[in-house]
Amino acid sequence: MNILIRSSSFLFPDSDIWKNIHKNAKFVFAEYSDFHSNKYYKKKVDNEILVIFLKDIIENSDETSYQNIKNKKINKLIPLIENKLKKNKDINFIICVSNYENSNLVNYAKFENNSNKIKNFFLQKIYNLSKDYPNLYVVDMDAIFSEEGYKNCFDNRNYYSFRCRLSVFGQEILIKNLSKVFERIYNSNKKVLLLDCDNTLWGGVIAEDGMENLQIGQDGVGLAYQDFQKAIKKLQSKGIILVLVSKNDEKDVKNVLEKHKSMIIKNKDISAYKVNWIEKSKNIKKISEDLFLGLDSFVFWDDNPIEREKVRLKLKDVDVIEPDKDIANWPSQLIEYNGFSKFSSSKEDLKKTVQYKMRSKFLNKKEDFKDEIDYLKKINIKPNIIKLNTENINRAEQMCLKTNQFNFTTKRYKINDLKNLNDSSIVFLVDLKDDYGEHGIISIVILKVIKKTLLVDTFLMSCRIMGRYLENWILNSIKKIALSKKCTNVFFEFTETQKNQIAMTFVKENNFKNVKSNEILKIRDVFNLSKKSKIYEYDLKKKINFLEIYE
Amino acid sequence: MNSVEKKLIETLKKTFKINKIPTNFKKLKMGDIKKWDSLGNYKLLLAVEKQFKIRFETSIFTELKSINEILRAIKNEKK
Repeated sequence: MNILIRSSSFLFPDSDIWKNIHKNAKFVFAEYSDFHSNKYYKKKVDNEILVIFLKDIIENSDETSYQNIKNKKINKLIPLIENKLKKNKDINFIICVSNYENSNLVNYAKFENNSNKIKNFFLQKIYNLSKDYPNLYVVDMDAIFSEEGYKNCFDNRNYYSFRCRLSVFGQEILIKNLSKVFERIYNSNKKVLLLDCDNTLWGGVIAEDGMENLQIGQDGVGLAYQDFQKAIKKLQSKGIILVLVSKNDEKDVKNVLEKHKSMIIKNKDISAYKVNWIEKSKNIKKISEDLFLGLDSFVFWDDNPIEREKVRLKLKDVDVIEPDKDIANWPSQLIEYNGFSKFSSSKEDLKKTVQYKMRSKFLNKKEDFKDEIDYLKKINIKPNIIKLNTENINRAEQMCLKTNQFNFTTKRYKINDLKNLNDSSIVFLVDLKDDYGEHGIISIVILKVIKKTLLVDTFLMSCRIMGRYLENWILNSIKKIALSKKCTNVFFEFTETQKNQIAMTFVKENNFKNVKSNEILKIRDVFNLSKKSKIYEYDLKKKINFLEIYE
Repeated sequence: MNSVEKKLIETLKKTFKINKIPTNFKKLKMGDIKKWDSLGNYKLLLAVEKQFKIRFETSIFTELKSINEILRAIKNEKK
């Protein structure tokens, strides 16, 4: 990974501490205050960090009135940055801004500090750009430096000696925080918070103390537990999934969540309950399978050190939190925890609690039924084929970009690719509802027909509705289209990834046939396919199982 | 060789990533070691400050360019 660093004044290059940004990073330092020259792009650049001290750019902020800012250097930086973004969509730009200057409290007791205005003006413009450019990130350095103390982070001597605004410590702090940004650019955030109940969500033991004696909401410890719940609720409202993993009677726990007036977390906030006497590690593994989420997206919070150690030993990928000894520090500990933080929450993220709740209800009921097919027949599953249009093209793109498991080819089509599919392509989406609710659009299929041969270019389905044999129904829909187009052969392209074994299982269970190598060459040629993918043939005469569910 | 000198040798080695220090250590000055250029000099001074938990004022900081001067400055700060 190559990182280009540009700064308005000097930063210490070639220093070992820069390596803390990312372990695989190599650094190139532009000459200081060179924000524009293109010579640094001759070698591949993956990330560009722009460090801007407004003091370097604006000579005297008190004289720079807000009105004439337009003519100043600072304003010229904005089109320069926009131009960079336009030309280099593959580079992540991280813009760091500080307006720190030694200030005199009395001078600004009656009038706002001009440099604050200028900084806000600049940040506003940059944030506006970041709406159009997902590869732009903003770091407000003052937020970092003020926490550590400006006097520790800046060093006048360094500036007069070698034009470096920061102290060694200040530079270390900047790098430490940049590493957090890089961590999130390259790794996805945690998605599930697993919570114990007794002495974690509330003080006391429900089975022994009874609901009325729990510590929650009262002054002291009770308030701390309540604030801890508020912090949890805040995560949930940003799309983090909550699961209770507790050795208790499920009825007791649900009763508290429903009826206790001081509880912030309610039943509707919880996506799944694993409240039983089974080992927690087993419960967690089951949730991970049920929700199709990897164990590395789970965070476990439990007051009991023995439970924590057991989960740590059994499930190495789960992040087991070591809670502070004093419950009073739990709310801030959870807020400061970096694992859940992310750059933005999409509308889809916010639906997750409900979606996973629907899924876990569906699976719980399914386990109660002896005959799976009987159960599925009873829940009124109604799939519906819809055409790709301007209203659903965003969702179509999102599925192409995010679906990993039930995905035959994992082709990451973007909106423009989808718009530009040619006439030989047939695209359809599948919308689904049943007794558990409206699941929305959960599948996209792209077919290509050339000379009575049909090739399935894309076949993907969202995992949260797995377990309904909907994939069989979609296969049947593809079959119907093949027959209506009078196709004699149907082929499926398949690209194996680390995550799409589920799709492979489907291929095996439905007797897809291997294709002879000379024929593969022909198909690749006709449809212009990559050599990496496999090709399977589907026999149109074969009966498809489980379609009775949908009759 | 006293303990201050020993510590300074270690700092020098670490800063410029070298294993051996010439025997005339006390006579070394900026330019005598490959990476000891003006930028390297600031790097060395910041490392010395960290190592000895001292801080040089601007007027001194910008003048220190040899081991001899650095040793004297450390001595002064430690008084």
